[in-house]
Amino acid sequence: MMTLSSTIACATTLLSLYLAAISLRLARARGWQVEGWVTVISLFSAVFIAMDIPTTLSVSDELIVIASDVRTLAAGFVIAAWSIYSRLTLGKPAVGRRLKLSVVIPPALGAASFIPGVSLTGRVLSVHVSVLDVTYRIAETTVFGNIVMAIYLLALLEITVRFAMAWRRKISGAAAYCIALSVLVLAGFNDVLVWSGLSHAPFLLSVAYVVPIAVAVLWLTGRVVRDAAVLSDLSVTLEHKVEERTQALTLALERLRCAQEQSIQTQKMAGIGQLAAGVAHEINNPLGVILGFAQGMERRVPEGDPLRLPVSSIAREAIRCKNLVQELLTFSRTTKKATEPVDLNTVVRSVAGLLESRAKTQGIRVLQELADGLPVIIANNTQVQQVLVNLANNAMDAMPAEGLLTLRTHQDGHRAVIMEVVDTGTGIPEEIRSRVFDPFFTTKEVGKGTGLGLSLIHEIVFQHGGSIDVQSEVGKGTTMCVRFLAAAVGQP
Amino acid sequence: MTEQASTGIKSILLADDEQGFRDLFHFIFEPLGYEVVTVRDGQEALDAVRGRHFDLVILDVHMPRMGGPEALSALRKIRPDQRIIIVSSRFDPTASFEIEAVRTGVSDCLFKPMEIDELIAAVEKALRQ
Repeated sequence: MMTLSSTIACATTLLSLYLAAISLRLARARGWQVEGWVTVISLFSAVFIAMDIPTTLSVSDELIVIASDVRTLAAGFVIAAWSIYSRLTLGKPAVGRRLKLSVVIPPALGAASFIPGVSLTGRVLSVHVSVLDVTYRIAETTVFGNIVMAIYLLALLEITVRFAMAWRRKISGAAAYCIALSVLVLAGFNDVLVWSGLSHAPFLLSVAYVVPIAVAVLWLTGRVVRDAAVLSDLSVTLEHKVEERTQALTLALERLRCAQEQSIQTQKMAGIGQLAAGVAHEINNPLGVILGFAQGMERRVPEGDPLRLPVSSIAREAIRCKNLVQELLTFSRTTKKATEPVDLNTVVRSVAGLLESRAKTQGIRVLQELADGLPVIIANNTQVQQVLVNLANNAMDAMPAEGLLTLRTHQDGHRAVIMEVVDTGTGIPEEIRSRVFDPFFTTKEVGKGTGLGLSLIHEIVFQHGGSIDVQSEVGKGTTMCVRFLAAAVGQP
Repeated sequence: MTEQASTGIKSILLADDEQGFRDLFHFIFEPLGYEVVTVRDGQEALDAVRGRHFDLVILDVHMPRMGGPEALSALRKIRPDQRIIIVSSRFDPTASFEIEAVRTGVSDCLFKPMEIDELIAAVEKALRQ
């Protein structure tokens, strides 16, 4: 019949098996193989506890003796497994002579009871436990059995001490194992006392076997939770880092693409520039002769002479050629200029001074809208001035009879500095807006423009890693927006 | 030489390998009352200078046989006080020779294609010095 004791024994057996299942599940995780020993301990503990069931059910003497021997063998295996697990979990190698002894001896002693003629248990006794007021029928331990029990207890004590020392070294988890195993050792002593009739407390060993397993599983679960938290943190950090890196990469790629484009363009322009320079030099000599003779004749042919018109025309056209050649030469020389930190506001102020007299004669009001705290750009000062002068002159060309010319600077985000030239002039029709930067494209009357001005500006801005943008409305005016890269912080 | 100086006719020697420029100088300066002698390179210019006095020597920078820079330094040895104008047809971005020449006492440096007013003004200025 089921008694309270047998119910407890059954329940603890099942609990051990349950813990074995949990620890097995955990041990299958990568890097957690060591925890497989908790499963081994749990399984042998389950066997050990289950072997209590026959005694609590008061079955036949033979069965009680066999159960008692199996129980001793299971205890040997539990102790051996604890010994291995304690070393592994404390980060020590699972080798060494002492370890071998502590692993081999307990199961060997346990197995000895199955050798014919040797038994750890003798006759079956009825023991009355006063606290629970129940009578057990247990197998009495022989002298040899008592020695085995003592050795088991010493081995367990050694493992407990191992964890206690680890606890002193503040190794996490060691404290919990140490306390749990102490409970087991104390329960063992309690049982020895009950056995020898010195105490009438209930047998505790079976129940106590569950304690260290439960602690181990609890400890493992804690580790899982902690690792999950760390993992989750890691994944957030990782995500953040990936995002950061992706952004940096995208930026680098953009810069690289820009630099590549710029380099191709620079090479192309260098080629064109060299060609132009070569041609220009060769043209200079004949052009000088043509211009010289034409102007020389112009001085001698009096006004009203029929030859005056052709001679003046030759001289005038020769001067046009001369200007064109000079601009071509300037074009070819836009590469390789020394750069320095340039403040766009300073450039605007100095250029505004140059524009004053022309603006006055045309009735144009010049307005400066300069942003405070503008970052500097790394550029060639003369070329930036050239850009602004050229844009401003174009703007004034578009306002033959009065108007408003606005020179504006501002910052766009961290990386861009903008210089805008805004006029209230005739505007650029949409169909030609995309062509204004093409070399030799001009809308000015013959002799007024070479069509190189804006293309030169575009080239200069491009070589500075900047960009130029046109917004225009016919009859309302034009805004030329030049975008330069701000010098990085720390860059001179 | 003394005769020329007394009559006030100023003499100009032009060294330029371009036929067009040599013709141009005759065309421009002779009607203005100058004596114009033209040669084709630096070597001929040196020969001419050794033979007689010129009020002004105009040297093209780029000439075959002997170019402007060599002719200039040789000329300086023969006639240290010679008034000289340099004419350059090739504007190299550094213009190092031209700048150096002006710094060391050449009256002026012109770049082709120059306008006639500019040329006459430079010649007059050099001769006034």
